[in-house]
Amino acid sequence: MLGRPQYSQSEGAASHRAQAEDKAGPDLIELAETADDQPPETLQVVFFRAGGMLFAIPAESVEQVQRTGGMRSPSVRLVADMGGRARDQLILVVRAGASRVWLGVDEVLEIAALPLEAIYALPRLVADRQRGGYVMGLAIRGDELAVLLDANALPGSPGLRAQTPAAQPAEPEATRREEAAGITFGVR
Amino acid sequence: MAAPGTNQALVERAERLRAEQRATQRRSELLTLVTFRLGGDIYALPADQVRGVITKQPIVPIPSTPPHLLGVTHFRGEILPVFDLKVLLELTQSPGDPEYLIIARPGADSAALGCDSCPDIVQLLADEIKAPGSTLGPQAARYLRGTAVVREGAISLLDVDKVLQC
Repeated sequence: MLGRPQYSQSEGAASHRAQAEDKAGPDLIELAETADDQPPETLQVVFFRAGGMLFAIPAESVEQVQRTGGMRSPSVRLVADMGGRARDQLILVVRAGASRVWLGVDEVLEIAALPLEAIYALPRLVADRQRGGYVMGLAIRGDELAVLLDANALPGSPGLRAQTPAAQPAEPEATRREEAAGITFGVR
Repeated sequence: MAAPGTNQALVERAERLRAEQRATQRRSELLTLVTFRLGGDIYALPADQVRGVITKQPIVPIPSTPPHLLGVTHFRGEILPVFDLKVLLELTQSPGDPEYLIIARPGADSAALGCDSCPDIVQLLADEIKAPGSTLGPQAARYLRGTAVVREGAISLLDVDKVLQC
């Protein structure tokens, strides 16, 4: 009985669980119950650096990662928006509402399932002062704080102080070519 | 039997005496201030508006915010906005990385205020605090509640609510 959860002692459904537990071992039962009753609440995000700073963006909005130097230059430079300089080694192709945004980034770190407890809202004193409002909140990665972006609020072509290249090949044909040339990201 | 007006006169006199007493108490009330340096000057916050002081912390800048908002910092499970008082008070143009952070305003809207020196505690009588002088620029004067002179020099007492409303 050592280490067995307490519910196995009681009657009804609990005793049924206790039988199952004898077969599968307590750990498996615990995990199965968690999965059935409460799906773990997480948000899949892509962590990346731009200008040395840590950012995160919901993975479902990231379509591709491309190398810079191709046809497309970034349409949004986060660090330029904070007065810094980015190296723009890679471009994240992000679906922002009905359009696409090309985010210039230094490096892509990982895709991670972020528990909701690791996500914080922006303090009101900051949210009230933010122009554009494309920061959704903050996310903890290890002992670092990442700025969590709201993909749908990222500036499209005419955005904030983001540098918009003059020639934006805008449409599906060009995009398909890029998709062929780019690194497919594997997260949809 | 007192004349009809006498009672009224006595009530007024009692109220006047009470008001004087209250004013005297206010003047002799002891205020505890947290003082700190910004550039070469000494500034202060009322101690009851200060939650604590922490040393240099990593500050994460937030895009598209004004320059006096340095960013946010993660402290004991809480995300605090960090304000650069030197930029706000126009003591400098370029935001810097502050050595110390004063966590101001206990409650929901806490914020950290950057300063250059380890904060100190000073006690003053309320009537030692005068109206803000004209030596500071109009921008700085907006955020001041008053000034006082102590052994170390002049202290400018900041109005926390006005600073955090900026």
